[in-house]
This record gives sequence, C-alpha cells and structure tokens, in this order.
Amino acid sequence: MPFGLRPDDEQRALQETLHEIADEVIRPAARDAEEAGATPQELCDQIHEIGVTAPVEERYGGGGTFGAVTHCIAAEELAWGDPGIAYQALGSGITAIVIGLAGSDAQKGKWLPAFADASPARSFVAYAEKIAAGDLESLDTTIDGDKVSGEKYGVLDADRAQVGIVIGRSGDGIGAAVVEPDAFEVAKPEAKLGLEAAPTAIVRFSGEGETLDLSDELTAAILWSKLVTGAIAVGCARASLEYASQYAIEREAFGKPIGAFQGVSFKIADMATEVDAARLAVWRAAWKIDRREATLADVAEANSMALQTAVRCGDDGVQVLGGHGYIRDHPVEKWFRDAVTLSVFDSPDAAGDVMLARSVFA
Amino acid sequence: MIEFELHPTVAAVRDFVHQFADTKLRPLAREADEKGQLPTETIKELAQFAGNRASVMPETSSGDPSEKIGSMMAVVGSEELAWGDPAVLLNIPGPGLAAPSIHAAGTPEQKKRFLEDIFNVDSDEPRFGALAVTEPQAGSDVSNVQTTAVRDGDEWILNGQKIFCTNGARAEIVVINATVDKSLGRQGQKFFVIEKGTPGFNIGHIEKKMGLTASETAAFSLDDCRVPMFNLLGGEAALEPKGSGFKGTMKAFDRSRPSVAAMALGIGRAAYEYARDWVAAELPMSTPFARRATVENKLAQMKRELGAARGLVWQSAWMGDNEIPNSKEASMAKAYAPQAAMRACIGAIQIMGPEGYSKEHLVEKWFRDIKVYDIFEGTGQIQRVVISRAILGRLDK
Repeated sequence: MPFGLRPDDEQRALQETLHEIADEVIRPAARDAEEAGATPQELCDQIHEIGVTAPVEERYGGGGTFGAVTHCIAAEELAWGDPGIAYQALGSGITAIVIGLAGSDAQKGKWLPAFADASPARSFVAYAEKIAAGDLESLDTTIDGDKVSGEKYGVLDADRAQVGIVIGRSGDGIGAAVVEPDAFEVAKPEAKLGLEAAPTAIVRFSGEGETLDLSDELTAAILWSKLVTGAIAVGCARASLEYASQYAIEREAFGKPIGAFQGVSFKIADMATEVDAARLAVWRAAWKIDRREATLADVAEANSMALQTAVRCGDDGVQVLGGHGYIRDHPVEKWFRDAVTLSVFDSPDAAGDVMLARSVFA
Repeated sequence: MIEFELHPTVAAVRDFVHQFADTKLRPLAREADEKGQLPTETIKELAQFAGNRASVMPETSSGDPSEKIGSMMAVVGSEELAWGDPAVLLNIPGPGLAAPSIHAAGTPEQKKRFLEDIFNVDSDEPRFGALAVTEPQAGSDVSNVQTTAVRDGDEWILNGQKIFCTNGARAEIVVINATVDKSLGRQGQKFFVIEKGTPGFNIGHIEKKMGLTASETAAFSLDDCRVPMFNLLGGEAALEPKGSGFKGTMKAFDRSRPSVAAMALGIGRAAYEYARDWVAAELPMSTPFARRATVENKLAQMKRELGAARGLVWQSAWMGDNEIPNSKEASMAKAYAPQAAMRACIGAIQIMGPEGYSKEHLVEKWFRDIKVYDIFEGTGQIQRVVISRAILGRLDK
C-alpha cells in the first residue's frame, strides 16, 4: 500500500473505544487524580483491560502485541482524556514493550506474565536525568556488565514498581537493563508542575540488573518508549485545541462570539494546523519504528514537534479562555502545565533539538 | 493503512523530476532572476519536458485514476521543481492555473477546446494559460470584484481591470471572473475564457517584483471586450441559480493549494540544504561551542518545520486523491508551508552571514522568492479564515 493515512479497522475501533472512555471516564476523573497525586487502581485496570497498555504475546498469557503506530493512536486518545492519567496508564506497559521486543526468551518468560494480569505489574522505563532530561546520548547512568549505577528523574511508580528498565551508557553506546527493587531506592518523590496523576520520583540505581542484548529490536524499543511521550503530547494539544474552539463558539464579547474575531480564530487555525502536523510527525516516526528503520533523530524530530505543539496549544488554550482559562474550573490550565511537564521528559528546546541537530550532519 | 512509503510511481516521478530540477532548472536560476525572463530557446526546452507534464503538474495530472495518486504526484513533483527553481518552474508551458477552473466548471466541449485543442498543437511555440481574479480593489476580498459581464445576444461584453496575473501577457487563454449580476454578490460572478488577441483585451504593464522575477506577472484591462457565449464556463447552465458559481469553481483550488504549498516547501528545502552544506564545508569545527550549537539548532528547527510542512502537504494531497473533503487540510498546508519555508530562508541567510545576503549564493534569491507564497493563491490570513471556519463555523453573521 502506498502513502495513506487511514487507520485500519482495528485501529479505528480502538480509537472509538478509547475516545469513549477518555470522554466518559478519564476526563471526569482527572481533577481528583491530580489532587490525589495518583490515578485510581480501578481506572488503570479498566484502561489496561482494553489491551493497549501492555503488549504481551499470547504464549505469556497476554492479549497479543501491536505496533507503534497503533500504540500512538491509543496514546493520543487516552491523553486527550487526561495526559497525566494516560502517562500513568501507559507508563507501566512501556516496560512490557521493551522486554517483549528486546528480551531473551528467558527474560520474557520471567517478566512478561506479570503484565498480562488484570492488574498489571507496576513498572517504569527510566531515562531522564538531571542534566540530560531526554538526551539519550548524554546519559551519566552507566550499565557496566550487570552493574547499574546512576540517578534518574521522573521515574514512574518507583515506590511500588516490581520491575523497571534503566537506560544508560554502556560502553560507547546506549544500553538497557531490567532491574528489580533490590537494585534501586527512591531518593525523593517528585512534586511536579503537571502530570500529577502519574506519581514519579528521583531514584538512585546501584546494583545488578539483567541487560537486554543490544540489537535493532532494542533500539526500536527504546525509541518507541520515547515516542509515546510525543503521542501523549499530541492528545494533550488536541484537548486544548478542541476545548478552546468550543469556548470560542459559545463565549460572546462585543456582541459576537469571540471566535468571530480573527485575533482568536487565527490562533485556533494555527493550533489545529500544528496538531495535524505533530500527529503526522509522530505517526511517521512510529511507522519507521514498526519497520525497524527509525533513528534517534526521527523520534527527536517527532517529539520536538509534538511537545512544542502541546506547549503552544496549552498556552493559547488558556489565552482563548482568558481569565477563565487561568482558573481550575476549566481544564486548559492543567493541560498547559501537563504539556510543559511532558516537554521536560523530552525537552523540545534542549534534548529533542539537540539530538535532531546532531542528525543534521549525520 | 497508515503508510508513509510513496507509491512506486510517485517515487519514480519524484526522482525523475529531481534530476530535471537539479540539472536543468537550478543552473538557470541566477541568470533568470537577473534578466527577469528566460530565453525563448530555454522555454522551448522546458516545453519538451512539459510533454511529461501530465504526470507532475497539478492541473493536468492524469495517470490512471483508479490509482488515486494524481495529487500526490503533483505535490512531490512541485516540491522538486521548486527546489530547482520556483521562477523557472512557472515558465514551464501549459494551461497553468487556467486549468483547475476549466476542469471544475467547463463543459466537455469547453475542456476539449481550451485544454486540448489549444495546447496539444503540433508546434514548438510555448503556450501558456492563465487565471486572473485579482483586481486593484479586490485581493483577498474577492466579493469586491468590479469587472462586469453584460450579455449582448450571443456575446458577452467584458469591462474591468485585472492585476497580478501570472503569465497573463503571453497566455493563449486567460480565465477571468466577472459579475453578471451584482445583486447576487459572489454567486453572481461567473468565469469566462478570453483568448489571446481578442479586441478589447489590452495588456498593461509587467510588474517588477521582490522575487520570482523571471515569472511574468501582468496587468490587463478589458475594454468592451467581446467574447462568444461559448466562452462562459459551464455554458448557459452556469447562469441558472444553481449554476456553477464562484464557490463551486473555487473548490477546484482545493486541488491546487497543496501543490502551491509543496512549491513553498521545495524552496524552503533548497535553502535548508544549501545552508547545511555550507556549514559542513565552511564553518570550522573549531568554532566556539555556543556559536556552533546555535547554528546546528537553527538547522534542526528548519528541518523539523519542513518535515511538518511535508506531512501537511501530503495529508491534503492524499485526501484529495481519495475524494475526502480536504478544504481545511489544503489550507493548513498552504498556511504552514510558506511560513516554515520563509523561516528556513531567513535562517539560511543568517547562518551564512555575509555570504547569505550575497548574490554569489542563491539563498538571498530564495528568500525573495518565498515571500509571495504566503500571499498568492490565498494569503496566509485567508487560509486561516478557511481553517477556523471549518472548525468554528461562521460566527460573524
């Protein structure tokens, strides 16, 4: 099939199901989850049940695997409901993606069944560091043989994770190791600007892990785990766009809906254009991951576009609502905070573009 | 399927056109810009290439309709041609922008006469078509068009002024819009074909422009210009209340906007690649870290934005090929690509510094050329009106 943008039947059905859940379940739960600093277990399980959070092959008791494009479609939809809850719900599953793609049979047999449960294992993929937030080529954490050593930021569910993956420097390249709780300790829980429904912590790693063998599969897996951030950003941006659009239709000023003024409507037009552009960039990178052709630069380009768009739409979303956007009665201020927080995990102005810049002369 | 691999035919067209752009268009760019025109011999050579035009130019892209790749071929072809040189591209003979409106509104007899008989002649004289909508007092606000058409038996008498018409002075045919009934507003505007040499069709001056200098931009007046009934696009039926009016005809441009956006993308890519190669060759690795990082970051941003623009262009073309309404998406491509390309051109000049503004290199020319892509074929502002109305509906009534 040549160039085309029509999701297949399965993807479309998934999109519809997730949109319904995002609209009816996730969004109403978002404020409470944010205030609680955690997503309710039942909600995580409900999302997990649909089968898009952790791809586990049938032979390990799961519901089957799926590709990065499908995963990105799902992530956008969940994040449209709430970026924080999406980050939480998808975060654990990313571990299953990495192990499922890059693990040995023994490793898969050891860890994957836990992700096939109705209430899947809590876990994380840790790559962000204090200085190299999203820049995989500047990591300080080392993976030396089985030895893992370093400090990671933004580690999801660190206090209750049964298993996790650390990305670090290994020799001249990037490596990954699976760790269990005896190899890490929480240094400090993070109180964050946004994405509070997904509790994270600063974590110190010191101990032994099981390395995942370097291969094209591991590269694809690491890139995939990063790209999910971009897909969540697209959903976050779209949420702001659609909310601001509806508001621009309903809110009146100077005797007209504010959307009749070009100062507002052009903002909406630009937001919509960039949301489409960002989604296309993410899909393109995902498609390359599925073909095992993706490079760091492809994901950096997509994430950079998506995160920049999410931040811009977050900002303009608040702007369109004016004072109403700034107060917590509306979700746009939250999505703005979520977008900026997301952007730190793969910072558009620092890490993403740095990796992209390196690729210019690659 | 979500798939980013180009159809093999489209990919082959891209490679073929790139080769042509690289070897034939690019070498002509500077001289064409300085002289403000191309030698006739060169245009004839381009006309030979135009024998293959059917596969790359939006207005006539045919191919096998069942393959649904006409617009995709048009956009990848347009990007490559404009990468070669946008002004030379506009000198490739053919019906040009006259075609979309004739395709959209013309009767089969009109299509045959104006698109086939006039252009498929056995002559190596280059032949052009043109479209003239803009008037001195009617730019983005097309409803303000003052040109009138009054029926006189089997003829129409046209009066008015048109400006900014690409290839207008040398065109075999020019499609214009004129008001037959002022009380009907835009719906009272109909499209007419004026043939070269018609009495009362008086060519005025050729514009001197910031860029695209080798592209002919003409003004003309219609002074009691008589055209036969046959030249009313859509024939008598167009005069009925539901006849092919302004809106329907302008819909044709949902097909051409992606190609115009693709041309902007091609110009931006030319500037990006030029600056990138210049940096690789000229900027010493010993350049202080901060300076080098700033340069690389700017290049990265250019690359990302051009990639995003290509996504929007391809999306809108693919929708057009698959008969999915794409008015909003075509406008998104047209709103985004020229501005991304403009940032790429400015960035390239700034990166190259004094060599950037120098006429020794082409980036200063691309900067002059790109500006008009955010203006013609619907300004960026008009595209945003289209996009926001698609989202918000019409709120200003």
